[in-house]
Amino acid sequence: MGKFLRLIKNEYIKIFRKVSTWVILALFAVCAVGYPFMAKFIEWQMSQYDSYRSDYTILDDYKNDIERLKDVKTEGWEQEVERLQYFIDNKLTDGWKWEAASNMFEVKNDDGAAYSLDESQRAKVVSDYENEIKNSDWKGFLQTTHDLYDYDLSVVSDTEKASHQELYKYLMDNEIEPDEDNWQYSVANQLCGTKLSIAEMDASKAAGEAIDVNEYSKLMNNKLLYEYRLANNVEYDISEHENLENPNDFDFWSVFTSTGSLVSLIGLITIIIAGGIVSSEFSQGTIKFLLINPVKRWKILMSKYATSISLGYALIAVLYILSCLMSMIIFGASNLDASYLSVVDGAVKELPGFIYVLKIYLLSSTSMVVMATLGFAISSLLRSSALAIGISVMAMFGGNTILLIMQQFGLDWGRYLIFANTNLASIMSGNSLFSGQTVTSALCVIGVHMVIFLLTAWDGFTRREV
Amino acid sequence: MTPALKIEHLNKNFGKRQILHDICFETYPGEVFGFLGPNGAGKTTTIKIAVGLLRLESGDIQIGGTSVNKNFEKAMAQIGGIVENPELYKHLTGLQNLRQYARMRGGVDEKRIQEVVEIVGLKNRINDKVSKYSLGMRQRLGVAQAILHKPKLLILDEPTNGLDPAGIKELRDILKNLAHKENICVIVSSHLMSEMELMCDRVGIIVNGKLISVHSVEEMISSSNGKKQQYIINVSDCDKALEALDFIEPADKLICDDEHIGVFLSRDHIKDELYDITARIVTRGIKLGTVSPVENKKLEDVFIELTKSGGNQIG
Repeated sequence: MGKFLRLIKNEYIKIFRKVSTWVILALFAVCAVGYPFMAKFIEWQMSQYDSYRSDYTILDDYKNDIERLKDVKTEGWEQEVERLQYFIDNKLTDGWKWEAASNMFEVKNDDGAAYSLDESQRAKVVSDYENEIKNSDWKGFLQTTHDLYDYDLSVVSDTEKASHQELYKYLMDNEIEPDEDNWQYSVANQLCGTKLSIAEMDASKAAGEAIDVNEYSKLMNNKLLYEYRLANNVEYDISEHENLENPNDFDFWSVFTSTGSLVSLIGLITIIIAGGIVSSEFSQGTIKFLLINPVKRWKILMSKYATSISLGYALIAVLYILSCLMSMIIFGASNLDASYLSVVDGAVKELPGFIYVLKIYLLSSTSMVVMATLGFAISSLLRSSALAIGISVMAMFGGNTILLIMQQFGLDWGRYLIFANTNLASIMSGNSLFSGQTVTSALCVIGVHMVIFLLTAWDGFTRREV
Repeated sequence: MTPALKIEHLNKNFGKRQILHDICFETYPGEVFGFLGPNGAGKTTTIKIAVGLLRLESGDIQIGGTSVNKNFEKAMAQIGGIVENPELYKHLTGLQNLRQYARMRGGVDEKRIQEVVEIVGLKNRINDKVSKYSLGMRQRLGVAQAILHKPKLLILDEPTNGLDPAGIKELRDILKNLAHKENICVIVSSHLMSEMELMCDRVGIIVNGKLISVHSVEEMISSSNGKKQQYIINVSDCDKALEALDFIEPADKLICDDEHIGVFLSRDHIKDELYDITARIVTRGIKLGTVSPVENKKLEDVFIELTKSGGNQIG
């Protein structure tokens, strides 16, 4: 074992004494460090754009609308002008006060089509809302809105009414201010919306219509997640802040989780190393001095393989630490103890964030290992770095295109190709290209390919006449 | 004595072509063995099989009594060598290269590395990158690498390639020293016959994949030269001089030109006969200039004689 480790040490020295290695690693470091900076830059650009829509301009919009209405005088324009003027006077652009004011005018201008209220009830609702806005009484707002649902004619079913009222009752019972910045309010709100969607789908199902099963199970999972968060007081859920979809949502976790995509860059570096580690000995002519040593050939071969793969994982560790630190420095170290929530077999599971990101990294590394092994096999069989690196990189980045073409032509055996099985993360989440792929079947296909690659390398190297 | 290298019935084919035909020989600790042969005769192939670069198809190779087939690592631990060109890692320094090989062999400490560097005379340049070395320096580093772990058998394929005359002499001394003082068996292959003559104790000649002769260098040269030594004598009158030397058989004396005659003397009593010849010439009043022996045949001539049967085509 000691001898094997010394062989690996030799390989590491050979790799790290090369200038080209350091150039590649420097480029890699630039990417890893630059990634959070890029995210920050995008966020800044979007904020520039968003500043158009400040409070001031929304109120300006209202003023313009009033001018226009006074001009064209469409039907009911006086009521609309009154409403907009009220927003302007009270500087209402969003939040529960805006909602209260909207409701207030809706009730005030109602002719009995939207709400089944009589004259005195209507006057009471309007004055209640007015007082609540004046006194910033959000508890009152909740109560008034809750009660208003009893008369809302647009609510078609009892379930719908119940789920709306449940939301307001929940907010009242738990004294949750209906403010967008309040996480409990937004989660409760989302829960309400999800329940409504589920109720809708249930109704369609009962009516014998076809429904989207995936969508349905996703809604059910979300419902469980929201309930879990409210029950266990989980303010921050990483699954809601995953990847960089919404620039308003960029934070430590969204940037850190998305750096998992840089693992494919490490895959590229590992392919370059693995594709050259055997063939370079031949092209430099040093193979004779390597094989003249009292070490069996398969040990030399395995030390080279172990070096390539371990280097890949060492880079993954570096990327993890570097990304974590850079994201923390640029986006702030908030919610570090947050977890990733997911539903497994109908139960909510909490996975600590740092372990979750590690899981993403390791799942992405499958493709790296498989393609590096392919490059290694070609390298030791054909003794050509260019071929080994070229074919493996093409397989790594072009594999998906091939699969998409196969899918188009309905060639189902594509599922047995190695490319279709390396993306364990998407297979695990059920988003595989071919239906019915499981992690087990993917691991089997990967295993078979790895055995073939390694046997090829083994045979090519140990029987080679130098 | 256990042979350092024992090759038994070695055959090798490249495709349908048979490269080696039933090669058998042994070399012993304490000798420098020269491996000679024209281009393409199979020298390097034999050496490559011995050090495990080519597969052994039939026959057996034992190194210090250990069969390469049975215990590869133990057998190879006793071998050091250079095969073909000394291609070392160009992006590493000489010292880093040596450390690479030290790690693969075990039992080599930093002190030994320094010692070897000094032996091959690279002390001042050992921290330079190999890419900056001349061929001669790389050859020296190759030798350093080969003797690093104190092998019992040292196999050097064309080690004098690229060395300057001083370097060649140094290498010769190093190798002779290793063989005669440290009891190592050194096997050297080369085209430089004069070198081999100076360096080797025994030589094996391989032609067209067949080992045609294994002898000590002296044996080989003297058997080829025969029992008599020719002398050229500078005299003023050739005819008179021949007459005076009446004790020599007519077949053993001849006139070369106006001023020179040639005589063939039996190697056993050259001295006495020479005294006799000069005395006889001088007493007859013939003027005597120089008496000089005709140079012996060298290993080179013997080599060409032995190998010319194949013509000038590479076999």
